[in-house]
Amino acid sequence: MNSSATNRLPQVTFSILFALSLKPRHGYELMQQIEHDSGGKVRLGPGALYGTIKKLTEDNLIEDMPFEGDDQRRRYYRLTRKGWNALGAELEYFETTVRLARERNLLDSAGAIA
Amino acid sequence: MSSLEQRFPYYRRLLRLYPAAYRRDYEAQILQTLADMLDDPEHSRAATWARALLDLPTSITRQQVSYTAAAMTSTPDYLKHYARTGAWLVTPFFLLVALNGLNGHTLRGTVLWHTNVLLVWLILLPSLAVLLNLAAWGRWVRQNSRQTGTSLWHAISDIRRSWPALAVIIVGLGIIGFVYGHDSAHCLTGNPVRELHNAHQTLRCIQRG
Repeated sequence: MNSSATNRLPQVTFSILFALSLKPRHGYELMQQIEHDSGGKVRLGPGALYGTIKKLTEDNLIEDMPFEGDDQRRRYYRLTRKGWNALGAELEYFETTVRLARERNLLDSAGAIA
Repeated sequence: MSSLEQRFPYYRRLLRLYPAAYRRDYEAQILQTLADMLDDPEHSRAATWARALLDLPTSITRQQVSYTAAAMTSTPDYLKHYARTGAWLVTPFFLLVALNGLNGHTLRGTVLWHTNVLLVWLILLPSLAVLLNLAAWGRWVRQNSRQTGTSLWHAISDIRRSWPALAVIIVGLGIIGFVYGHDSAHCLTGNPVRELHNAHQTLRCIQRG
């Protein structure tokens, strides 16, 4: 089995990495971006958000940034090199899947069924 | 107390259900994020509160499980070693009672029913398991208290790391209590306490001549 198939990221993890790919963000900015990117389908509460952030920090996929500027109350997070690699591998998987789905005309028929 | 802590006193009390280490790292951020959510005019306050509160039970449970599992794996090696030894020492009791139960007979007619052998598997081995683990646990409580600079009571209550020794102590004491104090011991093994008592009385009579 291909290793990328066995290392698929959970939905919330992918959403956070994807949201941080644009720029470093603090907690509420992350929530807003995730909600926007998912079309409102992924809506995290503060508990779930920071639980996942803790896990991603421990796994060295994201890191918190040193305090900068006037906003001392909020902690900003950014992707690490490992985080970029994980996000890239996931996007590659999605790209392949979508390409195959197009070749098999699955997207149109799935839309028709939905 | 910061302005955010003053602003959400009840929500902050709920956050106390998280593990202390998690709170140290994330409580301020969670409160700040809640404040940002409530200050956002695009969302209603009721919906925001519902989202924040409904999210807590799952999140708290996950973190408690995660921190407990991490603490359990950080048990000192010597506690694990004594607990393993203790587990081996109480195993004969369970094996013999189980075998006895499966056969549907008492052990009275077997070689295991001679007083000396009976004393070993029924009383001495579980007692040894309890004593070894009590000693190891006592050592760990003293060490833990000194290293963390906390009270003895705090060290005693930190059962997430000392659980292997405590489990053996509880099981060992349970066996001893069961053998001495419970009538059902009779059904399983043929009343070992009475056997031991009778043997002792017989020995006395012989000694008296």
